[in-house]
Amino acid sequence: MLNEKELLRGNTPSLLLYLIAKSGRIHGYGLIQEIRSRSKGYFQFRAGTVYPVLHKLEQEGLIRGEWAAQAGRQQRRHYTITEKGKKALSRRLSTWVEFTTAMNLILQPRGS
Amino acid sequence: MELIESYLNRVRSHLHLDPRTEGRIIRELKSHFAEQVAELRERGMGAQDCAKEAVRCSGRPQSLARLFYAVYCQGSWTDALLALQPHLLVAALFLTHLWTSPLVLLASFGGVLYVALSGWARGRPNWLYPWIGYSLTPLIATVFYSMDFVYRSARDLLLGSRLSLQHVQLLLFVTLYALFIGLMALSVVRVVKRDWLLASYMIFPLPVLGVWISEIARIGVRFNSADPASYAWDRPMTAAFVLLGICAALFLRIRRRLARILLLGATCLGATILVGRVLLQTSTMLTLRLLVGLPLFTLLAPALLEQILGHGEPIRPAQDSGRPQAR
Repeated sequence: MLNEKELLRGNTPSLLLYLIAKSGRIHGYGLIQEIRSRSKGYFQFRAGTVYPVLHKLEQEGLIRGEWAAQAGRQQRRHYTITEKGKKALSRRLSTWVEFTTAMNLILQPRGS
Repeated sequence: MELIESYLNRVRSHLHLDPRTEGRIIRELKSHFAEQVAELRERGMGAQDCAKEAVRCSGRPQSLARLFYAVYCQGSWTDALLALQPHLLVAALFLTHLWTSPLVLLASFGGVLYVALSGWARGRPNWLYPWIGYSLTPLIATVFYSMDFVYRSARDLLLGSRLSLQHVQLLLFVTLYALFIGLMALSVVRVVKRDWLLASYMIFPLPVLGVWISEIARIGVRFNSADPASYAWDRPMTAAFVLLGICAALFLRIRRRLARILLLGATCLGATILVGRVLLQTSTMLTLRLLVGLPLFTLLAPALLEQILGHGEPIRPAQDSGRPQAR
């Protein structure tokens, strides 16, 4: 049976891609905080969930990572979405909307 | 912060990727921990507790390393094709029986050596390892071929015969042996420091070549000869090298480490037994044990070596100061 973890695993790349696109420029830990805050603490992403996916997205050319200096602190690797990433995100979002609409149609009580 | 350094060292020891990628991953994780610790400190937690909590939240270092390994380990189809080439080249030498032509051998292995050296200088991509392995073949063959001569010359010298040209040749061969052992050790150690499995991948055709070279050295087949026995070897050797080539290509496409180990082990064992039984034309228990033992030793020796040498460079607190790294 599918649990919440398995459901989330398949959608993590889209989720991260969306948040990177929304924020314009964000680092890995910032993404973890953003997900926690937007889901009101429901999703507690670990480093192991976020960073390998970010590296995969970068390898596929959907995002671009760059080290940026901060005054008096360790450098961070910031990510921005690429043109290819924007197109991929738009495709993924429309698939997601169609999927959730179909799921809701099935799951809603008849006659409502 | 020692707890975090130790955690990162454990992640790195399980990454088995090229040093540049490993450095980038570790640096990003280090930056992640710094952010997390800073956030926890703001909530009023003590320094030691912050580090413990940050490490706890990140899960097992092996699991984290495995996820990164899965991202980076898979080569493209082009990489797989490039890894296949040296195996196909050797297979073609047997198919056409051109392995008896010193000129063709010189041109072929000269080319292999050129690719191996230029690839080594350009960051050692994964497809390069079979090329490095094959570039050592001429040295192995020379060592095998000269063994009898070296033995006889050394015996004469020990028995007190006068110095002659033979002894100068002996000295040259001993130097060659030292060079061979040094080169072999250097390349294997450098590769093992990155990943023992890549070292096994590099040397996995050696048992097949070893069986063949030892047999031609024993029978005394000369180059440029039309010895009928040498033709009988061509077909099984071609089949064995095509098999090894397919395995080398698939190896780069597989993401799971265990599947890679099993594929390499099964192919090396299968090819060695196939060639050994045809070439040696004997199935005594001793021969069979040797044919099983040789590939197992070849594949597992790098793993044992990694246990002794360790993996890569440990992360020191002063290292990785945060300067951007060239990709």
